[in-house]
Amino acid sequence: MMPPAPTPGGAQPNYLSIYQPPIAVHWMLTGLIVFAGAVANRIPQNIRTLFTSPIGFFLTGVTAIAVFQTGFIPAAFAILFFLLMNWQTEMSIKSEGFINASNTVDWVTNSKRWYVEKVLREQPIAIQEKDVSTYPVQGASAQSGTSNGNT
Amino acid sequence: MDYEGIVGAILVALLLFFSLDFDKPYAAWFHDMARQPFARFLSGLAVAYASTYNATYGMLALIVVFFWIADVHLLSSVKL
Repeated sequence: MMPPAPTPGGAQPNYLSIYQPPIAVHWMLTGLIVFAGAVANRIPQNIRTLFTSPIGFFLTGVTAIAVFQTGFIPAAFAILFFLLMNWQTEMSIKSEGFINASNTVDWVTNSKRWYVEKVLREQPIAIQEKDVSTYPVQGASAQSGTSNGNT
Repeated sequence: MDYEGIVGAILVALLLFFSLDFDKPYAAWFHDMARQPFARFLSGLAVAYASTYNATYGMLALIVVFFWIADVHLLSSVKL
């Protein structure tokens, strides 16, 4: 085996240098932030609320701008992605539940439960869509219905 | 059109596409994929990678991804 060629000036290479990962550290950090944003629905509610509150939203945005000024732009966009994913998750959770409760929801005021509710250990607080609005079929003629063999 | 112009045009086309109504059958697969964490992770990496070319590309890609995931339909009321 041939010995390595001597370096200019006779300096010996340092084989005991610090381990360098195959991916740059700032890219690994960017990947972690993006991953946290991708699984934002798994983040505990109280932590997510910190980022979506006005002050937390502002501070996280300022952090993204500060990272942008450092020169590594992908990390800044990763922070913005994380922030938007948190906000979107928070908004989607808040939108669940009874929609337009004043018109369609029938609130359960009787403590007596149905058999199914007892078996499934459900304690309903309201019934959504107690009234169903139906409309006649529009845009379909009687000719088209019979031509396919439907009666 | 140069390379950057093509990338910009593709991003704008995606932005318009994701502004449409996802309830239509042709976009059902995209709609389902927006709920997958791995797809979200890849889209986030795509945003970060796009920003290495240009900050404007990164911002445009971020808007595209956000429209896709958050179901923002700016053009859903437009009859095609």
